[in-house]
Amino acid sequence: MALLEIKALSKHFRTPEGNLQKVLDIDSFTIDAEQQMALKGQSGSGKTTFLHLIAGIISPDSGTIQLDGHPLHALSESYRDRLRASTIGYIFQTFNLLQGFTCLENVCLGMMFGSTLDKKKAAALLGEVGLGNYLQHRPSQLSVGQQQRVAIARALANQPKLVLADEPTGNLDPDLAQDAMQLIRRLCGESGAALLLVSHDTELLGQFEHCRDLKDINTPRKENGA
Amino acid sequence: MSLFGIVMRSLRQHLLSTCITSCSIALAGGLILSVWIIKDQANDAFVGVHAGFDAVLGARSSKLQLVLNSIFHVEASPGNVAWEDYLDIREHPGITHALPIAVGDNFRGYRLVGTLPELLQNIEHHPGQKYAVSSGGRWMDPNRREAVVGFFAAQQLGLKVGDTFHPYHGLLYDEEKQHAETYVVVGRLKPTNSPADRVIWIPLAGLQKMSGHDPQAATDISAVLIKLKQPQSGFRMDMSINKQGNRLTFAWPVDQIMAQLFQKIGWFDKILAMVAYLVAVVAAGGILSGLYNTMEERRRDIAILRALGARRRIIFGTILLESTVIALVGAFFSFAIYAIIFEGASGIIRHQTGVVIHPWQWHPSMLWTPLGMILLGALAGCIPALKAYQTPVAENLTQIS
Repeated sequence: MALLEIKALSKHFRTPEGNLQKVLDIDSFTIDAEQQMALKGQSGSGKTTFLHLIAGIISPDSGTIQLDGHPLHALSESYRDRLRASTIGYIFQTFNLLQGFTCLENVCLGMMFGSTLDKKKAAALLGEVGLGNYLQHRPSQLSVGQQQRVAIARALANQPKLVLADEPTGNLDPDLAQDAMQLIRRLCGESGAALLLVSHDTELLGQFEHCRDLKDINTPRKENGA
Repeated sequence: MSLFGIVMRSLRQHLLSTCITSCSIALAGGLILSVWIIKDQANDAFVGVHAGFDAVLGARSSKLQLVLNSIFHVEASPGNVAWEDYLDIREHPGITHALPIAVGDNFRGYRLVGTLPELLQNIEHHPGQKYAVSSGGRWMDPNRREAVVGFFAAQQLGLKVGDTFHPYHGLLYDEEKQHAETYVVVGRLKPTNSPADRVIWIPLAGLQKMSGHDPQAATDISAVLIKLKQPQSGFRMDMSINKQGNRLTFAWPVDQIMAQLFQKIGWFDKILAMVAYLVAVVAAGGILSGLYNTMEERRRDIAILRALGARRRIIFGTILLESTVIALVGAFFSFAIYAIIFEGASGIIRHQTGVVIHPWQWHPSMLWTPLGMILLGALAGCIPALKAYQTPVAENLTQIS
């Protein structure tokens, strides 16, 4: 059974001129449990919007999103928040770590809203990503690569069923990008989480067995109207 | 990490703003506590002070001036009472005690009051409490130049048993106006927490016959302190002395005269209270603007928390809790501000009147002021919390695809 199943999904945004612009129009898309899939997408192709829809951060204008058996498209925002907290781990290109909190606290925040807060487990996760000696460091005290590893640990802290990674290596140099990619894939594999990773880096995308191009599945048409 | 942990971390991140806002809440709370408690305690203390007497007989004047001069030992004497009037009132059947006092001299600003030793030996200054001299002292001999010094006056002047001093003419200290007579301190009153504490008591004759005083008024007195057998006597004497006579004033009942004074100056309390409330509103505005301004820089943090699964109401509650904690800290320290203000005010009141007020005596405002400040702080946090609640997530996660 598919972990994520999307059908006839569309999303519009209003342009500054007042026109409605359809940014996503996806007929069908699925990910199975524990599957690792890469999605190729150029800047402005709507890939972040697509991930936000899957995460329930925004809601679709039409279509259905079934996530782990829950009709995400039909749920209230509050319920979507709870489902996101318990089911999804999110890795951002800009890491989005809270600068006022330590590495350990940032990972704990990943557990706080979805599962039981377990400091030992958070510390162990940081150990797994090689930051066992940096628990009390602030993000600003870490290198870019280390910050991304904290973000990876945070995304896995709530034992998600699906990890969404939005250009996770976009801010890293090639060596670090490779390391980060391997780390994400290894940890997702070990924890049994499915992975949906979007990137425009063809070299990284080529490492995935399942890889799709967003422009093949997304066919938005420009619409005018109020 | 908990919701409270997030709040505490945020408060630490904005430490300066937190401290300033908490201080303004503390100041407002301290002012409100001070206004209400000092007002009520002063009211109770002054209305409760009667030095053991029900009435004062004095020269024709206002009743309030008579009471202030004779009971509280402030204000000038309105004039003299002839010795014959004293003898007449002393024989009145409705009177238990009638004791004369004479004023007109001081020692370094502390008033000398001439009276009969019975006033200190027989009268209860508060119910069940008589005057007492500290060990090593004794009551003054009415025929000698001896003095018994009130506790506060002795403390301030550094007078002890065996010391001598020269009185000064008038109620205000003027070093040019020293009398030739030398008085010996023979006793020091134990504290009474009443105006008697700031008085130097000497024999009546000593003050009447002090060098430089008018010899023709040598038997006159300033007032007669009266203890009635029953209240009805007061009605009759009020009628005969105040309404039918025109030479003397019978100030009765003492406590109601003081209560009327507080009613007359009630408008001043209201102004003080208004100022305090205004400060509280400004402080609440400080919380509101302080938090509201940080919302802009915290939009991304809020969006991250929301992306991690925090529901809108958790974000709302976090900001509300933050403003409540600021107000809570302020409310706690409002007692320190109150203690400082009270210390200053009670010192002035004691110095001026001898009346002692107690800062930590229970008063309902000790409960409702901090609670009110916390509630106000929480209310002030509602608008920033609403802004946080409405923060859009996707737009503030910064990544652009």
